[in-house]
Amino acid sequence: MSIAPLRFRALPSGDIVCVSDAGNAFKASADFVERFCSGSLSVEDRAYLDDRGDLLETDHGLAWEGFAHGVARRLSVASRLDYLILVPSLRCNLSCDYCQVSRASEKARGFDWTDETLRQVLEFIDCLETPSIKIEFQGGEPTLRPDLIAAVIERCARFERAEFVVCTNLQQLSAEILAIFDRPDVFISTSLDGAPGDHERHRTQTKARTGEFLSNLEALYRRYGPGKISALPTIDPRSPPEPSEIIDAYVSFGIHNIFLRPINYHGFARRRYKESVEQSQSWASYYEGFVHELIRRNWADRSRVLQETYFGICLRRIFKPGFERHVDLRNPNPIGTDYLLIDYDGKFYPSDEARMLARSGIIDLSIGDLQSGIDEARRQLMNRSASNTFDQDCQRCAYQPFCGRDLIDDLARYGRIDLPRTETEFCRKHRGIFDFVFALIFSDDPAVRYSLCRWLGLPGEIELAEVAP
Amino acid sequence: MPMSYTSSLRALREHDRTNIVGALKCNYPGISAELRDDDLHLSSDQHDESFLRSALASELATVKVIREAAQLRSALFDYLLG
Repeated sequence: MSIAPLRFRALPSGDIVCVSDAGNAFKASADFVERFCSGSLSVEDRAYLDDRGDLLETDHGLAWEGFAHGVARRLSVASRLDYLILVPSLRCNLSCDYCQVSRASEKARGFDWTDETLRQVLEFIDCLETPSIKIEFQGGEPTLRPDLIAAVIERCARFERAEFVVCTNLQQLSAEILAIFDRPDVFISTSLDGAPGDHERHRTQTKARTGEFLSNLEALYRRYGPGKISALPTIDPRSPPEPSEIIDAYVSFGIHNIFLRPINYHGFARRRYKESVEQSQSWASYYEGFVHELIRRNWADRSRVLQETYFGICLRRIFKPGFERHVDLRNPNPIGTDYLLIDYDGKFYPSDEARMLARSGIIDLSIGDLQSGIDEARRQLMNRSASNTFDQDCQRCAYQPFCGRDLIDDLARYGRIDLPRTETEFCRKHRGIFDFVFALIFSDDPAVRYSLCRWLGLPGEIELAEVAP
Repeated sequence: MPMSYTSSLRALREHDRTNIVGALKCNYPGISAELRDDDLHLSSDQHDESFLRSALASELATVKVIREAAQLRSALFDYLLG
């Protein structure tokens, strides 16, 4: 007896996405799926499934081994701890309207690493058993303490490979911070909310400060060229700017990857903006319009490739398993294993969002500190639910092989992790995105094919869709 | 203009019928699903008939695979985790 372990998802076009447990996807008609259901597949249908390795014999065999390998290849393997998010200071020289829970006033005292905390951080780094390391400096505004950043970077000289990202609002560029930025292993990440007016409304609040930011960003772009600086726009979904405004702003600074994110409220802010718990259909439409605008521009100007970062991640989750290490979309997604946040007070958190939940008094998700190490009991408690593989709803979902699990997001939105998956924003959002990705994969439009191939790193305009008889 | 699509679920067990109605409602916002006797009535004011038919075919196929592939999937993870 042979079995085809497939899952199915109807798209608005009426096409059906069929995905094997190993993540091999093809397009089918309702006729094909009805033949599949009624056990009346034609010889041609069966040959198609067999050729793809989707028709398995229950007594194992080569196809079964290949299938098992395919499933295993989709499972992420959390490596040793080699990614740290460090918060040397919680102080900040801006007061952005969606960042109240993760900052302290610039003049406040007691919100920077003490000498003792720095010593413990450096010792912690000394103990990491990994040949390579990536460190992201978050805040607050980490450039208020360039001395702490420099001390950490200096301590990482022993690693074979080291990469540092300084997440900064770019309000001020001191000689000390420029010396750090000049290092080839240091990258700069900032926020750019589109047109100057949007950036000013949410972040800088005055024309003078907006001018400082834009002038610093411009200076750094002239100094380093493209590739050194990345930026993220945070969008108010109630009044999003025109996609063209955001794209123009990014292109003017040579930034071609745009990670489009709606504001993610935490704590009291989430209570104030209750609708922010879940993204609306209007956000989904805006997002799709934004990606279509990138596709249009890529087709019109082949000199560079513009990309919405998260769309690219989802696309590569389908075609290039194991390629992405984006920790918000992987399965299983254990916390406190391969990446860890160390806060200004030396506490460990599984992520920046977890730190914000603790700061806003929702739930303490700290998993230890520099003095006592990682709290194994707390970490293991959370990681019991870190997989979507055996979830009842996920097992039925065609997109499970590409999707992930985000415990912190569930806790932030609902205060619990045991809701049926289909009732969570994580599930709804990803069903929507993967529907959109597959609609584009199945598109005949050469402009769409061109962009999809570029985002996958493929030459030419390859037909990505596989189609059942 | 609301679209509708009706299909008989006579061949299915009661448990599977209930599951299909629930899954259609959860997985496809905008579809309304109602079981009357042996027939499943689908309707939507957002989607066309072709989509309703495809959504139902997808859920019916899912039920079939869950039943038939349960042992294989179990064996697979025994093998991978073993």
